[in-house]
Amino acid sequence: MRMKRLARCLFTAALVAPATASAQGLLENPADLIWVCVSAALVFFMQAGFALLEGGFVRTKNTVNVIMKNYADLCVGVLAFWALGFGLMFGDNPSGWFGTSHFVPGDLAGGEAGFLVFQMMFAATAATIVSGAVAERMRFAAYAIGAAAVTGLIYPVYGSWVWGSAFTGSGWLSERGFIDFAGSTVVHSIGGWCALAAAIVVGPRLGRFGSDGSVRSIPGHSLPSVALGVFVLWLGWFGFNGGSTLAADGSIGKVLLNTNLAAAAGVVGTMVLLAVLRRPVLITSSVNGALAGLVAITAGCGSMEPIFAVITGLVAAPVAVFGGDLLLKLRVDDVVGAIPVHGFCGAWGTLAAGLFLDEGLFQPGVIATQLLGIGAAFLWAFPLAWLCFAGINLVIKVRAESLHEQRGLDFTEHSEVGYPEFQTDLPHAGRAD
Amino acid sequence: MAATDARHARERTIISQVLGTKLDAAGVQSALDLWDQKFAGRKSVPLIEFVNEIQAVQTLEARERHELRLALYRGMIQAAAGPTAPTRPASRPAPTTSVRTELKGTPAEIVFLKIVQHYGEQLRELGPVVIQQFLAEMRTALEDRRMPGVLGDAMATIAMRGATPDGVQWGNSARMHMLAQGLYVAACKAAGPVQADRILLGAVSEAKKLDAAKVFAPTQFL
Repeated sequence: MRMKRLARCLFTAALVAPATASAQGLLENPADLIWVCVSAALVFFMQAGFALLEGGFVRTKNTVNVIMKNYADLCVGVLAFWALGFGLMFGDNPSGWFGTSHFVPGDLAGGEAGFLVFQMMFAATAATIVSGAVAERMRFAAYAIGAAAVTGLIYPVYGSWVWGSAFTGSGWLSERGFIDFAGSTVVHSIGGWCALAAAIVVGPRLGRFGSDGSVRSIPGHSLPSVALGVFVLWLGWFGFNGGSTLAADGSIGKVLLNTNLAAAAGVVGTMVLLAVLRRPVLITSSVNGALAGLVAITAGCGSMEPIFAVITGLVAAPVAVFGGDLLLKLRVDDVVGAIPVHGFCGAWGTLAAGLFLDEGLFQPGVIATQLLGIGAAFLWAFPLAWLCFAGINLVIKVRAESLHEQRGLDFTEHSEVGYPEFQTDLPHAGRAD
Repeated sequence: MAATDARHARERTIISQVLGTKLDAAGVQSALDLWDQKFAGRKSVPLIEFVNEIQAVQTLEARERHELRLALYRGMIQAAAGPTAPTRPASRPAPTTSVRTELKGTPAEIVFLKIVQHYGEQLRELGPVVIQQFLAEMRTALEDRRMPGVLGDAMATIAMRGATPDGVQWGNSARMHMLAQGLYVAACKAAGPVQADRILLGAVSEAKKLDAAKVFAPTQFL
């Protein structure tokens, strides 16, 4: 009882405590603010890319469900980040471990508000990575609660270590010189490790793996949608990385150039690798190669020369391809390849940012710090996300029933189907169970 | 208890038959002893572990050991499937003593039986390993749903022979719905979800052609 009262007092104090400082010079220049707001819009548009990508990767009967999850993680994530995440990530951070002010921020200057919008979109991106990995079998409510945990706690606390505070104080990894320009680790690896935890807790789709160890392919219903989704994501990434300059200045050009080169190198690297391995050059693998390159360059796009951006993208290709193979061997069912693309390639990209730093290549101290940050991300995000999803599972069950997998989550979770003209064999009377 | 003994006897027969092609009598006997002591009665049998522990098998080539494991695997599934095994216990209720190919019963039963038939036809086309695994998975799925074993026997007969046994009490449409769902889960595990979806929709499509479908829509089993 006493603990409850104490917790309530602390929570109330945090809510009513005025911000102890305001961000000095945060987007005060109108041009900077406009650029960051436009970038926020581009990052928001990435949600459309994720919806197309994930919607195309699943079977027709689960399309609505996965797109609804994209909507849910954006909306739940935005609210959770506004209420809790922003304060944890960018509030005054005297300890270096998490922010302690600016919860439920209200009275913000224009620059601060623009910054908050931009960061909200980042938080939603971290959450939406999970939905692709657990598509076709995770219950909608369980996913929405998990998305709130990712955006309200897991992502912002790690983010505070790296991007410190927008106000006073600084994160402990930031103090050590950890480089993650736009979030290869902060956004993508954290999202990837949360996705890994969720995929383990929810288990593979029914029949995905045979009892003899075989892997059954479950093709998505719309590869054009997948390809279009990645084009949208690629476009959005110009805002994701470009906006992270937080300034409308000449540095944007190099950031966007590196971003584009790495994405292209990721696709080319994947196609060459598949050809060398004598595997079919699949569109699904190729477009994931683009994402692998984009995720990998996100950490170092502002701090490496273009030739190294190409190398970063090229190396990301085998990381994604073999990472996917490894997960299949471990019988982890990741529908869209989110874990290798975001988790593994995010880690690689963060290491590459240290290896190819333009101030001095291959500096052992920098590399060690990068490895520390990569390891800290996994050790923070994976166990906590596993606990979150396992806890949710205890209360409301994360896994859809096998009958719902048979019928498709579109119908059982939302009483709608994506393509009613083609999905005529539906259970009777529109009843979900 | 009688069913367990009968299954044990079937398993011993399978082991003798399979190992007899590669080992001498002493080797087979030693394997049977090992089976009785360590592996018999388990719900899920680790065949790789069993074969690895048979001393006489260790002298065989890796490829021969693999073939043995495969043959044992197929035989054990058949043994678990019961009615399709060579030594069916006589004491069990015998829905297969009288079988027929035409579909009779209530409209719901006719639709249900057609769906089971279709699953059997399609899965048999995918090969013996798939159909045997399907039968084993179907039994597990029905056990999970606390369904009487006799229904599993009857469904296995329909799936394997296309013939419907007489005298089976299928219950109401809700129970048949649960049985049909068990079929889908088993098909998913045996043949993969893509095949299972295809077969399920095919089954509904076939059932819709029946007169009984005008009274009981097959989509009610989805």
